[in-house]
Amino acid sequence: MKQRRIAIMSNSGGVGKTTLAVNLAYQFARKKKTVALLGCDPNGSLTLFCGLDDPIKEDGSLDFDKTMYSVLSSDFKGNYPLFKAWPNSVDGVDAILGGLVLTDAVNRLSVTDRSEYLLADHLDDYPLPHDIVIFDCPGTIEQLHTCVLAAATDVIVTLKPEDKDIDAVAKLIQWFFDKRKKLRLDKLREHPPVLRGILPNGFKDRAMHRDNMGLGKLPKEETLVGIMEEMEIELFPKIKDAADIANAGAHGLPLGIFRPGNQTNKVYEKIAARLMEE
Amino acid sequence: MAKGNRRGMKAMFASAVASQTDETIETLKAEIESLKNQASAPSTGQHNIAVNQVIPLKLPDNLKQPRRYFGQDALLKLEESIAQYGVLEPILVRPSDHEQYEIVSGERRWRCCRELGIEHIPAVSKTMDDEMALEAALIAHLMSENISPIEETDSILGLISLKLHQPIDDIPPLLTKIANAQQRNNQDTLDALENVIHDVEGVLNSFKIKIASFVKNRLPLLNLSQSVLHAVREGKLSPTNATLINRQPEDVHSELIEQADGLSKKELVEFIRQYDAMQQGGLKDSGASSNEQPTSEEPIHTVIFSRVKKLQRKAIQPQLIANNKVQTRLRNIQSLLDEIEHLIGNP
Repeated sequence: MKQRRIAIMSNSGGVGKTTLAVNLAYQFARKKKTVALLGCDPNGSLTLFCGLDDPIKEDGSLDFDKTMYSVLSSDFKGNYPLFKAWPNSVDGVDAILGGLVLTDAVNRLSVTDRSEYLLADHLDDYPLPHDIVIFDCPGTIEQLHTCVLAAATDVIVTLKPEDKDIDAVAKLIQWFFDKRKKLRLDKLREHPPVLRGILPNGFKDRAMHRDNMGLGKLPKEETLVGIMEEMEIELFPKIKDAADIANAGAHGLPLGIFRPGNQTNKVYEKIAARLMEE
Repeated sequence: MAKGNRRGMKAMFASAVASQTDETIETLKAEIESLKNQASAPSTGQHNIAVNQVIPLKLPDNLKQPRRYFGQDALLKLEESIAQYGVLEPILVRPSDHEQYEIVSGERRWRCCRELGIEHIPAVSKTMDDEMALEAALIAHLMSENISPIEETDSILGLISLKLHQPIDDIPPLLTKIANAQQRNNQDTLDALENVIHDVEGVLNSFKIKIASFVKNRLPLLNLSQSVLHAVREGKLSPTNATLINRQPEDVHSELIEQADGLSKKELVEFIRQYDAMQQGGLKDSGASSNEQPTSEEPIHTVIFSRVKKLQRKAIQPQLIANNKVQTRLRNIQSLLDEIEHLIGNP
C-alpha cells in the first residue's frame, strides 16, 4: 500500500480521538515514517495538541485558507496548508489544522458535486508525500465522517467504556458498514476502509467499566470483549484514565515526549505497529 | 422496560452485527468478481501452485456443501479451452495442512488440469475459516454462469442454513412457513420469526429473489424425480417444464423430457394433454393395463370431491397439512385445478 490513511472516529466527544491521533503520529515518526495529521474536527483541539497556534491573518482574524477548510473546497488545487507539529522535538509530522470554520465547509458540502468523495478525490489527485495520513474526526457522525470514510484505508474507533458511549459506538459501527456499502467503496477504492479496531479510553476501576470490559460478572457475550470477538474486530488494550495523558495534550506534546515512561505509550506503539503490518 | 434495567450490550450491537453480516455476501461477491478480472491483470496475491498440492474443500460434517453436478459436455469444453489457452481465471484456495491448499472456488478448472496433466495452476490463496470458506464457495458457485436452477436452489439453501445455523433440511419447511405467514399476514408468526426473516431476506436479496417466489418456484425443484432432476441439471429442461413433467407418472418422464426440449410451458401443457389422450387410447386398444384405475359405480368427480372433504376434516390438525411433502402435492392439486378450470372455463 502506497499510503495508509487512518481515520480516528467516535460517536461521542472527549473519548480520546485527538490524543490517539497525535500519539499514533508520534509513534510512526519514531519508526522514521512521515505523517500528515488532518484536523477534521471543528473543535480544533489538534492545534493545541500539536503545540501550534491558530493561523491568523495580519488583522488578527482566522486565516481559514490555512486550515482544512481550503482542502475541503471544491476549487482546491493541491496547495496543502501544512504546519510542522512539535517543531522543536519531533521530525516528520505535519498537521493541517481544523477549527470552527469547518462547520462552514460542511454546510458547503451539500451543494458540492461528488461531495462524499471530495476529500478522497483531492488526496488522490494531489497526493500528500507522507507515508501515513491520520484524520482526526469530529465526535458525532456527520457529513465530514462520510468524506473521511471515502478517503480512508483504516478506521479506528475510540470510546469510553460507559453504556451510553458503547451504544453510540454500536451505531457508529453500523454506520461504517452501511456507508461503506452505500458508497460502494469496495468497488471504487483500491484499498476500501477496514475497521481496524476499537480503543477503550479513560478506563476507571468502576463496576460499569469493569462489566463492559469483561472484568465483571456479566457473561462474555454481553461485554465489549465478547462482542468484538464475535464481530472479528480487534479490541485494543484499554487505556486507563490518567492525568498525564490529558496534561501531555494540554502541554502540546505527545505522551511519549511528555512522559516517556508512561505505560500507555506501549498501547500506542502496539496500535502503530498493527497498522504498519500489510 | 423496567426503569433501572441496563440495556444488554448484545442488543445494542444487534443492528451493527446485521449490517456487518449483510455485507459479507456483497464483499465476497466483489472479491470473486475481482478474481475473474485478474485474468487480464494478475494481481500480487496470485501465484502458481502445484496441481498435486491442491485438494477439494474439506469441511466439518455440520457444514455441508451442496451436491455439485459436473456436466460431462461442459467439462469437456472447459478441458479443451484449458488445453488451448491454459487456466485464465485464478482459482480461489485456502491454505490447508501439509502444505496443501483446499479449493474454495474452481474445482472444475482444477479437475481439468489434472486430466490434462498440467502441473501448475494460477491461484489466489486466502486464509478463511470453515464458515467463510463455505460461504465463499456457495457464492462463487451462485455467480458462475453455467449454474442450473437446482444447483442455485441448493446453494441458496446452503447459504441460508449457514446464516441461521440450522441444518439445511430444516430450511425448506421454515421458508414455506414464512411465505404462508406473509401471504396470510399472520402477524404472530411474522413477529416470532422477525430475526430469521431478516437473515433470510438478507441472503435472498443478494440474489434478487423474494421469499414467496423462492418457495413457489424453487423449492418444488427439490422434489423432482431423478430423471427430471438430471435433465434440469443438464440444462435440457426449464424449471417450470420440469415441475409440469414431474406431475406425470414417473414411467413416462424420460419420454416427456425428450419431447419437451425447446417447448414453451404452454406448448408442453398441450403436448402432455395429447400424450395422455394417446396413452389412454392405446390402453383401451390393448385392453389391459396394470395401471388401470379400479372401476367404480360413481363418476370420478364425485369420488374426488368426497375425498377432498375427508382431507378437509384431517386439516384440523395443522401439522399434518404443514408437512412439506403434503404441501407440495397440494400445490400440484391446485395447479391441476387451475388447468381444469381453464379447460371447462372459469365461472
